[in-house]
Amino acid sequence: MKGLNILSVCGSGTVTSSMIAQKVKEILRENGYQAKTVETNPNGVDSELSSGKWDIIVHTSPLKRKYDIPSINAVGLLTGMDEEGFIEELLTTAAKLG
Amino acid sequence: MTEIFTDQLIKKNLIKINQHYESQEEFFKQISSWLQENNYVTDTFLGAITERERQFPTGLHTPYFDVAIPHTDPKHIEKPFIAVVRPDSSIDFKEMGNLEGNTSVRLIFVIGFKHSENQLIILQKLMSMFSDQNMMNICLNSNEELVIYNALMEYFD
Repeated sequence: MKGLNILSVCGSGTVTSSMIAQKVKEILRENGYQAKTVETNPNGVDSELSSGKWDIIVHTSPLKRKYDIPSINAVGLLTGMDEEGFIEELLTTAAKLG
Repeated sequence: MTEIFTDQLIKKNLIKINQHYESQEEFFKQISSWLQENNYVTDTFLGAITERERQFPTGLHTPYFDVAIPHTDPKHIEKPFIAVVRPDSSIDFKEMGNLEGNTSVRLIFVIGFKHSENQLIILQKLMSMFSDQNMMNICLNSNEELVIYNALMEYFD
């Protein structure tokens, strides 16, 4: 299984980011990835990125800026409105990371 | 982390339907006041939840109708809860993750968690409920709190 480190970001760093993180882990596991997830709020992203190695950011609130790693809006996953779109983007991004 | 069970979080008196709120502001004032009187939150809750909603809106478009999941930091919470509120007319909330977007919310889940709960499973269930036509229909259309309560308890188990 390929490993991936996912940073899950929401306004409080607790509620919606944990809702998302678990779902993202499951989706990735079903597709052959072993994902590790950590939740944070938008202000915590910089310090997480500088203190660890992250592959993808998934977020339900706007990020403070563009980062060097890919970021994917996860609101559609949260509400079920665009789960397929999110899954497609997640898997395409993961595959590109090689 | 201590486990928390659904029947500790959702109670019949935490389900409020068909009340009128002129605005989001009035909704937050009224619900905060009730929550405080019933020892669910501290007196700093109203300010915190209003500010948090302003910075990080929680309005969501689900496949059926718009909902909101306002919440704030654990330090404003005395006892954990999920309040389910269905106003008699929709309330405007800004959309989560989208600075320009608006939602017309028909159903609000006010989420009050403290750090020590294992809330993940409940949150995930809530998330999947947004795509469940039957549950969303009950929450939107039932005229009895008890019916909604029983449906939620069954769904969350």
